[in-house]
Amino acid sequence: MNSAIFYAWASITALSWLVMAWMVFLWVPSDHLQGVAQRIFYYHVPTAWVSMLGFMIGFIYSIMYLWKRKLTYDGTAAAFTITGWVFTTGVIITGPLWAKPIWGDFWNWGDQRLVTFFILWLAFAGYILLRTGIPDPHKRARFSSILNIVAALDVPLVYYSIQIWNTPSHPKPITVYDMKMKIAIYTSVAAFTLMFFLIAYIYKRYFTTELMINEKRGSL
Amino acid sequence: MKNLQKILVLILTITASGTFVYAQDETLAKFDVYFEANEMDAKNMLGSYSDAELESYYNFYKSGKSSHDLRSLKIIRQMEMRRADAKAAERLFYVFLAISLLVLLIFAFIIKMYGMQKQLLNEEKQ
Repeated sequence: MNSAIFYAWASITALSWLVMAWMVFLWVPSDHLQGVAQRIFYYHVPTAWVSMLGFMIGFIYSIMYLWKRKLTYDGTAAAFTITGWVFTTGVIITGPLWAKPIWGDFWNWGDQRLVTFFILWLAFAGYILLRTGIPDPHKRARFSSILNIVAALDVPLVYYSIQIWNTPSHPKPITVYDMKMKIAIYTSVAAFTLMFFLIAYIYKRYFTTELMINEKRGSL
Repeated sequence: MKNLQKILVLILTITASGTFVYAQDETLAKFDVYFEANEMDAKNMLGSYSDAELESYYNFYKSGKSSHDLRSLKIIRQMEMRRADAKAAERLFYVFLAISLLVLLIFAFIIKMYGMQKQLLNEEKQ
């Protein structure tokens, strides 16, 4: 990618985060029942969205690796999956910190959405551990692609857990009526998506550099 | 001419006050539903009233009360305000913690990636 485009993208991302912060802290009204704690949602929901997006892109590239056996596909899958996992950790941090003042507790093991999400986090933590444990690039790519595909099957389960189990604490998809709240949540989703692709791109570049060095050394 | 102006002012004042009384009555009528609802519905309903509607009801309630009742109301308001402040402060702490940790996590990841890339390029140079 042209460095001018990269810096423009990074600048737009930084600007979108500033606009998002202004909206969340100064512009949008507080929820009448949850008060300021509801503002965590402007960070929690987009974090969850980009993590799912990362796992889905990683899933597609893992299939492509198994099909074409090209290490660049594995590098792209790893970049998106690992970045997705970092954002999943973000969801696990922000969710309980919202739950404590509203539910009175950090975690509820009876909530299937939380349990399936935690399983997802563990599965992809396993993916990262697996990648660090296998030195041979092709062997690493093969095993991690399989694990990525299996773990990604939990993504629809997380998404539909509310409909399947009718979870008591997580509400069904809600409609936001306040226009300011609607604009703020869409801005947050856009800002997080820009940031996510920026980080995933930088990570992908790392894998590409590593691949080029290994090819030069003739270790592939 | 002056009389005509006086008549016009009088008509406008009467019309305006009539509209106000009508609007006030209409607002207060909205609260009838609240008083008739069960506890759970009433609790949820409270949040749906606008600031102006709540103000309107508050003024209506105050108007027919004695000085003693109004002071009692102030005591209750003071207690509620303190509770609300404490609750808001607690919630704000969690908002601050959640967002700070999330931003810290993202930046730590970016710095780690930068370090990995740098190390890789250094290794290549050597």
